[in-house]
Amino acid sequence: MVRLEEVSKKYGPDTAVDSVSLDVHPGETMVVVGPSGCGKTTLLKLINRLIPLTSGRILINGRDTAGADPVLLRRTIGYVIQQIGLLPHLTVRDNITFVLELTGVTKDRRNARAEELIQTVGLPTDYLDKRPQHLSGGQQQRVGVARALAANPEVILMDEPFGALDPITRQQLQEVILDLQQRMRKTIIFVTHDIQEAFKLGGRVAIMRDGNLVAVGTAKQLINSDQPFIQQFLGPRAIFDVLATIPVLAALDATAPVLGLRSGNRPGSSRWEYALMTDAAGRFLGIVEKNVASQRGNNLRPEDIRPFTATLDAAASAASAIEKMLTSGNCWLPVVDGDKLAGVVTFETCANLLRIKEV
Amino acid sequence: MESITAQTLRFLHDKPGVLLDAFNSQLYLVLVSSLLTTVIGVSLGVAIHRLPGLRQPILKIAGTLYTIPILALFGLLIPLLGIGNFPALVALVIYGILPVLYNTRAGLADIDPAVIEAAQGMGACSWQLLRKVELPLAFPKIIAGIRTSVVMNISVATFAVFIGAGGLGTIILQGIRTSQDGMLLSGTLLVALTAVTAERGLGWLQTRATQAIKGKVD
Repeated sequence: MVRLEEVSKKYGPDTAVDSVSLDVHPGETMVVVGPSGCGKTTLLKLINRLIPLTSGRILINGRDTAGADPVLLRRTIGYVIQQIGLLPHLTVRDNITFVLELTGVTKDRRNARAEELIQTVGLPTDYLDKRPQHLSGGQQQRVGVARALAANPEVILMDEPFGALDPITRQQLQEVILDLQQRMRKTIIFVTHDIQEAFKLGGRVAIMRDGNLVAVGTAKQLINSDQPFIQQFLGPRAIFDVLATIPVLAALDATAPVLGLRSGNRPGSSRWEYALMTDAAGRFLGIVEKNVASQRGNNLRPEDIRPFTATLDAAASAASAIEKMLTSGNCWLPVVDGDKLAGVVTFETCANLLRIKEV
Repeated sequence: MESITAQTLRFLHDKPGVLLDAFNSQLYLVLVSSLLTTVIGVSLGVAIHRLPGLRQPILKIAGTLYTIPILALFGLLIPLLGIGNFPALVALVIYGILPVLYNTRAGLADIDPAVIEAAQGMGACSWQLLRKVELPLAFPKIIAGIRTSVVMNISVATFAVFIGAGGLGTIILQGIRTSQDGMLLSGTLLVALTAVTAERGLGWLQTRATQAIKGKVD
């Protein structure tokens, strides 16, 4: 969809972007991450030609962007920047549809589009007649995202769009992007310096340093990299950032023994010292020592069941599973969905999430 | 001896046509020069904003012309352009340009660069950027420049009598020469009234323009 071929940008003797090649697939969120000054913002602006290339080629949908009129090219590419840059003299409505006005779309169609888009980004329609400066930073950037979608571009460039927002607002906006991607499957190139954000949003993450692209891959591939710079750049917390993006339900241990009162038992592997007890409806009751369970057979007594309070909600991430194991002193935890037992997560199954199976 | 108020009222009663003619020619000079000043000043302001190379030379020339005393400027223009409305208008435009030029440039330079980047990033061409983003946002400053320029032109146009272009200066000068205090005062008051009205009117417009950009606070 967007293909960079040995793209370079030089300012006199300084090289801002050094022969970067990158293939961004249709519908993919490619996150470009790196320390400040690594050239990631320059790279983004080369794509919509706000900055001219020194050498190399950029192809969008197979067509070399050098052959296009930069103004017309930009109208087909969404653009969201950290400073937001809404036009203060226009209403939210006219801000959202600014690009449509540039291309001469009629007022009726512009208004209809604005009403549709403001809901897409989760703002009430009565905000359309407000001025941007009367909105909070997070609301303004929602408008910024809506504006980037106005002309229904296939490609959207986002330059640290949530970098100036507080952590809670940033997370909300990240959810907006994830939600949009579920529905719209745009090709997004997203620049950030925040690894956590990169792993949360990115199908693949590209790491830049000193104008060079040093690695491209999924979060799992990157944290398994043996390159010292990548290890150093990602830092020890990156593992948790990856685990935070994976639901705990992906880490259930099928070998854990589950005993049901008056229902079928799942014996589980012999490694387990405890069995988990459920009632007929599948509700989690507690745990039973395995030797007790085997002694009693089908005649388990209520006092055999020990309550087990450290449970994990099924909506939690693998990172919170690890956290809870550490704080509760268990190397496994029952996962409950409402009051029903959904399964068991262990340290080992969480660690396995980080392994690359296909390599 | 008649009081000065009575003399003024008598002049206004006896010769309203003379005053009105002078006022009309003054108005003509001010309106035409202000229009030209605005067009040339804003254009030059945009030019020096877009082309940094032109900035210093144009600001220096405009600044130098601005410092020439009005009678000296007439003295320079008469040998070149003769007398009448045309050289008077040229002089007024030369004087009026600097505030408009300067404020236009300041208004454009003041715009948040993020707004410009976003507009360009969305595909505004150079002309759309100017018309839909830059000029609207710089408008309050531009109006402030026009306001300074118009008020100044009203006072400078009073001197146009020395270059044979009429205006309320004729009434004032004749009032002084012939010791007709009523005539003198009528001309003077009308000039002052015109200047104050223009100042207030454009001031109101400036406030409205600023509010329009900020949006009403809700």
